[in-house]
Amino acid sequence: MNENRAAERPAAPGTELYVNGNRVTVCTEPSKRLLHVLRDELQMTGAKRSCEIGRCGACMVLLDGRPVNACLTMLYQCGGRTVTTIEGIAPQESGGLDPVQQAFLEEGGYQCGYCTPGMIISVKALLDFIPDPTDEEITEALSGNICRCTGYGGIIRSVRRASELKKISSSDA
Amino acid sequence: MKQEYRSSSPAVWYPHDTSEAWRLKEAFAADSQYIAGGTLLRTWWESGTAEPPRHLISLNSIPGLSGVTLHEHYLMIGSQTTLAGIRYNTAAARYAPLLVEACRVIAAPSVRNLATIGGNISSMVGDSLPALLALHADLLWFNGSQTEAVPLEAWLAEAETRSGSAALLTHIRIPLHGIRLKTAEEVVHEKRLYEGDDVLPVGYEVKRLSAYDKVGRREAFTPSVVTTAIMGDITEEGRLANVCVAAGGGQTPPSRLRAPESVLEGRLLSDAELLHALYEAVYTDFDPVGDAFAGREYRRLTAAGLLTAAVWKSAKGMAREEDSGCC
Repeated sequence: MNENRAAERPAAPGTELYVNGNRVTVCTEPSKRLLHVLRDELQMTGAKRSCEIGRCGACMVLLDGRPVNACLTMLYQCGGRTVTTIEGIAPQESGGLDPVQQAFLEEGGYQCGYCTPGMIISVKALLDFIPDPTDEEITEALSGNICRCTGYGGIIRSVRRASELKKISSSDA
Repeated sequence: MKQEYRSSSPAVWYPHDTSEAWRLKEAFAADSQYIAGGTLLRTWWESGTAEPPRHLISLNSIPGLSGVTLHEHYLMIGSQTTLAGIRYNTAAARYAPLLVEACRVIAAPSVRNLATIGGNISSMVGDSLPALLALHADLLWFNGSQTEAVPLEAWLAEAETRSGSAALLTHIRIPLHGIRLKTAEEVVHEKRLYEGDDVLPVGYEVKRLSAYDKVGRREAFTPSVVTTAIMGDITEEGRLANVCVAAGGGQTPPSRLRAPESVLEGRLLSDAELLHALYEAVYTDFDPVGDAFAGREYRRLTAAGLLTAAVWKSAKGMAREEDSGCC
């Protein structure tokens, strides 16, 4: 190790990250949970506070396109990276809905709706990775999202419909 | 003063290399913790199982600690490789399927995108450990001046005594026992063969008995009650050789089970008496930690059932292969 190099440094007071395409600098503790940064610092309440130990998936967001639990992710881990929340899923230019959101509406993929933002994030990640998933792949992808209304039938239908909608939209493009 | 310490947020440090990380850990000692994914630590802090330290030493910024590389004689996995990274890695799938299966059933995809194999190992009860034991993995530790290879089994036996150490787990090394690289004669010793998604054509010299199983209290995203792993070679005449059996799960420290290994070693896979002897040996040898939900006896029975079923499936598969070969 080079003793003269100023490499051992505590985190800078501000952490810069990209949230839904916007560059933001957050000045708070680097070990603060991303969930609280989003909800309390950035006033984005789409990611829900629930179990807070990574079990329920209500706070799911995409970090560099991959789903992570915002309650387990610390702010410093997001430095320089892109975070996509449920508020950033829909195409900004058209003002419409993402096919996954549309499918949840069409198929009744929600009851109380508390788990829905997390479900939609997980499904979006799944379909971006595997456009036509098997039942097994759907089960695995949603294994970290819990619906206490037990509305899984509608949710699984929504995944299938979202897959169809995405295929239609890509063939139209 | 104590309260003030508890309420203060940890400082996060970003060492550029393993030497810096080690020096920071030496300097801050018990006031600090190495951290990468942090998923397990976060739940410990929330549950009160552990207090957040004053200093977090992030390993994310150290290059070379993440990724899977294939070498002539072993598979090398960086300690900061995420569980998802291993689960979808083609070289790992081919050469360490037990580990890939373990990574597939640990937590959920969102956790696996953050959690690292190094963290799972460091917990000392992670569900990857039985798989890594069966694969005869070595752990590579940086001790401040050099990197030392320690067999996983030896490290687990001494892990409690090393808990305050600043040693940093850098890689997991999995030997390629019984695997033949088709282009071996052209390959310079320990030349890197694999990077990214391209894997050179390879073949196995021997047939394998290989299985990893996890039982929890629900189907998916569940803490384990029992995890088992078994690996061995199947000779031309159908005998088992170089068998390794391991079990863990829950708060049970994973370990190899020598008595079942002795039962299996050299025996014909088709031996009708084999399964009963194996079941008894696992039941006797496995010493799990029980809790209010799943007692010691239940876990012993479960481990015996899982490992016996794994061998039975392998024997059945081999018999099917032989039948299809005849016709």
